[in-house]
Amino acid sequence: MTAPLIEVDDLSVFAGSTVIVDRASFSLAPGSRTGLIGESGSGKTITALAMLGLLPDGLRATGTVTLNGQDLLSRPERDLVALRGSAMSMIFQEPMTALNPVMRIGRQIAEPLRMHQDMSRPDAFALAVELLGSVGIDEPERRARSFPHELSGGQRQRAMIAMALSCGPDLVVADEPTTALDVTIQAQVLRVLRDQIVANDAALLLITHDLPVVASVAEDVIVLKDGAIVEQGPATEIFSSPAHAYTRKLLDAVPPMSRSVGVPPKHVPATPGEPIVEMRDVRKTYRLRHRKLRDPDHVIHAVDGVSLDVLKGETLGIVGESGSGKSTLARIMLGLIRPTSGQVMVEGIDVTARKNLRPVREIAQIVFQDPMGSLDPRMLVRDVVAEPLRALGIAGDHRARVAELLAAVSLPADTGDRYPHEFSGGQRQRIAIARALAPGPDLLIADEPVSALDMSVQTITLDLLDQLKADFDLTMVFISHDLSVVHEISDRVLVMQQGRVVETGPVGNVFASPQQRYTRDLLAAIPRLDGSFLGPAA
Amino acid sequence: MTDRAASAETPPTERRRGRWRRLNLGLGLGIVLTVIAVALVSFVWTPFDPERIDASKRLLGAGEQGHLLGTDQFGRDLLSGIMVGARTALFVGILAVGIAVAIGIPIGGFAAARRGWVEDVVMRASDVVYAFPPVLLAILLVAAVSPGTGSAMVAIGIAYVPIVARVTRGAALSVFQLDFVSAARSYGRGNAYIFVRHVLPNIASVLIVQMTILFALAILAEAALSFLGIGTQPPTPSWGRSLRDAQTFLQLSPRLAIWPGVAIAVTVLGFNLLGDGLRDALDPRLEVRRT
Repeated sequence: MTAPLIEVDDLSVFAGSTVIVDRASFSLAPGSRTGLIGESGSGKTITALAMLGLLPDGLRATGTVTLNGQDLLSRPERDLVALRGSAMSMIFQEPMTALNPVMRIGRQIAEPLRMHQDMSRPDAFALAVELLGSVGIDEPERRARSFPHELSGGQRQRAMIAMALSCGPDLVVADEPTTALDVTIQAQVLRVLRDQIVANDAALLLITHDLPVVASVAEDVIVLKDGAIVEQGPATEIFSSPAHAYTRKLLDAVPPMSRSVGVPPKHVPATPGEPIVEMRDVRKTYRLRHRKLRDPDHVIHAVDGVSLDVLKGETLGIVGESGSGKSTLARIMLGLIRPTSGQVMVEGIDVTARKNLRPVREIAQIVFQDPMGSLDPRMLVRDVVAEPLRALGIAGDHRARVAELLAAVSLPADTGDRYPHEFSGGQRQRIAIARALAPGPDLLIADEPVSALDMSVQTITLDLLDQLKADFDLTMVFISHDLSVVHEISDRVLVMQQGRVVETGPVGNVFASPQQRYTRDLLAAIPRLDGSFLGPAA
Repeated sequence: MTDRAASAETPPTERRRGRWRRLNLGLGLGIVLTVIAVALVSFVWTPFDPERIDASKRLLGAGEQGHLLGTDQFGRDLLSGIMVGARTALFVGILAVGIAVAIGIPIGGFAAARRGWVEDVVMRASDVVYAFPPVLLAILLVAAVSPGTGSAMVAIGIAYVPIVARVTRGAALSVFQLDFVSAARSYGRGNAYIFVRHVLPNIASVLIVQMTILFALAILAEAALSFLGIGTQPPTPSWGRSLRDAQTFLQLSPRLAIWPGVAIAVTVLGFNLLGDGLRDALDPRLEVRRT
């Protein structure tokens, strides 16, 4: 075996007296690709930051990190600066904030080159253009002169990859590099990342909570739980026969669709009921203000002529990538946004008329994506859940009703006396669900309700929603960008692209034999545990 | 690990900043409470009657005949005047800030909730008011009504409305974007209720800080207006007017200007420190870093 490129020995990280990383030891061989996996709060990112000497203020590391025979932890900041970018580099999750918004892309990529390799400005820029081409950006010359906001999310992340690879580092650390991207873009970026790492003979440490993503890029896997490594070894071995219970739990949480091809859906459409929502030719356009006086306004069609029925008792899944108009559609259904044109009826009530909003509130309620932002931080949970009852003037014993609702979403009885920030993401989402159920709605609209949650929590939350649907006799509209989640919960699915409905039908049919190219692309982009979806490395 | 070992690991700069923060708050609070205490005490007791004129005691030096800070050109006790002046200063701050907040917060909240052309109209209108210097506004109002502490302060309060409206709108805008506001709409709450119940508590810290700073500015503005002779009218003692009166005797008896000046400076400093300290203490982001 060759000498390891980087060796982490007994690495611990403390925040005051709290242990964040607990005696982690592992090593990475030159040119290897390793996945560091675990749920949020498991210490994945902190481990990587400690390796690069980038720990935030107030954190302190002990142990040794040896790169090419030199210990990094004991070295002064000045030496580390020289190593960062040239010997090791990092790709961050959110390329919009990781790139300087007022600096052109080309110059940002050229910056490490000028620093570490003392290149002249034109030389560095030329190399930057070349690098942008190699990560698959069209018209690299023009893009190098663009600002970050002028690029799409996928292009920005490609630019980050180009920047990380610019000085030919031995190690690249990528922290959730595709989590903020759409599925189809994620597949492209992962492919570029893997191929470029291989082409540059660099080692990769890929940090992610997404097991199928790891499976498709990494050869080895390290599993972190509460800051400690519970298992490490070759990916194929660990994914096929996990030794630790925690790894098994993570694997069980992977949706069936990502495990194998051709899984039948959990639900089949029941006998069609009466429509509870009827939308006819609904449009919503936004006018962007013209930059110059003479220019015509730029018009965005967020929802572009959508007609649909939601039938009583079903779960309708709406899938689409960001910007497909699915959230706008949900808000139009509730009357939170007024459509530019078209008809929207909920239980025969015209939602677009302002005077009808009140009765609609009692019929339809919504759960939002971000359980952090959807609960007022200055209100007790008890008041949060009781708010809709008070707002709609529903009579009865509110205290008892709140207790009943909290029990229904399996939260302990004392939940009501605490503040939202005292709970985990999954628990907060349960509070949000309890609030939505408070007025006794017939229709529950869930807008990406599990996207901000860890995978194992996702599964539990989906099961809870299924249970509540039966208990409360609900009709559900479930919106998500994640096809495997929609596959788990829906009877019928509706695929949206750029404000239009592309395809609709029972989940089994649409996912097994998609009629439209776009649906096929979406399905093909789902990462799978067998690691097959990216194809062999170039 | 013990707590002491843990705190020893906090970077020293962090700790020093924390100590400064608490010092600001403590000092500011101390000064403000002292001013309030002095104002309250002056209702029941002052060393001498601050308005009593006694030609035989004109321009006494500090400590002469029991006058701790001496007397002015009419023989009035300086210390008593300053003590009663604190009352005026606080009254002025409360009135001006009260007016600014009572009008500014609803305006800012309304603009943030409605957006669109409503916001444009409201905010441009407040820009127009903002374009007038507060003192000019005060002079206009005093000319129209009558000189006095009240009308001067109403003018200062109105002049501060755009500042409060702007701060409120800016802070409220970001809160209105949050999902819990959408959630409140989805179960039927109107804008007014959402603003009062959901948005205001979440922007209160910003507003409180702004209020302490405006309070300090209002005290300064009153002093300036009284110095010009269009603020507090005699015989009501005011620090600003004391300064004006002292102007004539600056050569002869500078302490007549020094003590009211010190009172103004220290009080304004106190409110500013309090604002600074509160901003740090109420900032939840700093809270997280400290725990």
